[in-house]
Amino acid sequence: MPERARLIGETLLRVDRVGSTNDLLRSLAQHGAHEGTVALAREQTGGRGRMGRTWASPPGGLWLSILLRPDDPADPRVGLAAAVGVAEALRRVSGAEVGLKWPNDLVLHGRKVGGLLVESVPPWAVVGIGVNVNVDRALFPAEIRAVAISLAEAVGAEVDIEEVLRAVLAEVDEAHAAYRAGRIDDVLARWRRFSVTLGQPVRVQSGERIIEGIALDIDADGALLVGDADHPPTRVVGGDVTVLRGGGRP
Amino acid sequence: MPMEQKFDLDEIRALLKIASEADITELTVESPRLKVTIKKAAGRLEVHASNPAAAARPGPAGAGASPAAPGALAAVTPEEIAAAGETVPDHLETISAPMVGTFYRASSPDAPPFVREGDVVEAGQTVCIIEAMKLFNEIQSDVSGRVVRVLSENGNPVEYGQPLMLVEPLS
Repeated sequence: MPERARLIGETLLRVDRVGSTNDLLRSLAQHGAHEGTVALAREQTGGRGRMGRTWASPPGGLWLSILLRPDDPADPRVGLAAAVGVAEALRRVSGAEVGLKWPNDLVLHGRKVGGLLVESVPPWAVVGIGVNVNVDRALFPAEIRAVAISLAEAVGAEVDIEEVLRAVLAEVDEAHAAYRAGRIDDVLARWRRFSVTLGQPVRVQSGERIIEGIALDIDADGALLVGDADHPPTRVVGGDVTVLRGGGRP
Repeated sequence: MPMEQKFDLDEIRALLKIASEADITELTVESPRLKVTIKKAAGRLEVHASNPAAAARPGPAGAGASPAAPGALAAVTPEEIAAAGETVPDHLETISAPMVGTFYRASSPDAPPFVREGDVVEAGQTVCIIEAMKLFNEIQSDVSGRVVRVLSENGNPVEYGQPLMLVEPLS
């Protein structure tokens, strides 16, 4: 089989400090940046999580964004595929059993080690990735400290952030290529293998609506199916998912 | 786009512009043909390119982003009018949800809404965000006009095809 040309990371921008790598990449896209361009910051001063929550991103973490141009930039499976790639990369480099909490939080020992956020700005999808590689939890605000972990803490030694970067770009490239080639079932199968959510009791809060049940599976679109013995599954695409007990712990 | 056009002068100009505007003090670009470092010291930009020949090679402008895809514009069905709790006059256009998800009027809780009732929007302008599975989908208006009504609350779940806003086209 001929070797596939690499899409992601051929052009890599490194900045010491930036508000948000997603914003930087969106500006670059407007100025003609190519698909696959990566923006990497040593430190983000305005990193974002869901619903505009701030995402603490001090030096010692991997904070990057990838510019992609899939057929449907609004397909949430772009994010699922990238999350599978990041989990694979972190496992390979650290040996730690990094898992995925639906849809694309990276967890280790029941704590959050990273996450992804995708912005769809047609025709672009900007995939933001944050991984706490070596940041001491003590540097985080108290509410984050309680739920966070670093790769270094999990393996008991500092982890080479450049090695993590290379592995993440290579594995996300591979997973995204599978998605683009129509091998979405493979991507979802890998997601299920890494999942710490499936089979667990969960609570989903979406607006005023709260659903509780067992996280049964994800469907072909990546939506979470939540149900129990008495109720048919509810299809969940948004909201805050809490694993109610034991979830994510080894 | 030919493979060798991974980076060209226009992109470097763009980088300089972005570096000068953004909160960046040092920026390094690595691509197969070129490594360039831009440092900002006391408001001054310094550029160090490790392959000036490649950098100076003229190239066509980078792939300009195509016009943003329009937000879904759908005919208003009687059910939708019922959902909106009122009759939609013929001259109004409806911006509908192109996907299931959570409706946001602003990019963050602290930011002002993309549009308010009474605002005039251009075709292609972002009017809201719908989030599904941590994918934030910016929804653009298909038409230029005045936003007369926002039909959903910030943070509420919306269904596929649900009317989000009514726009009075301006010709």
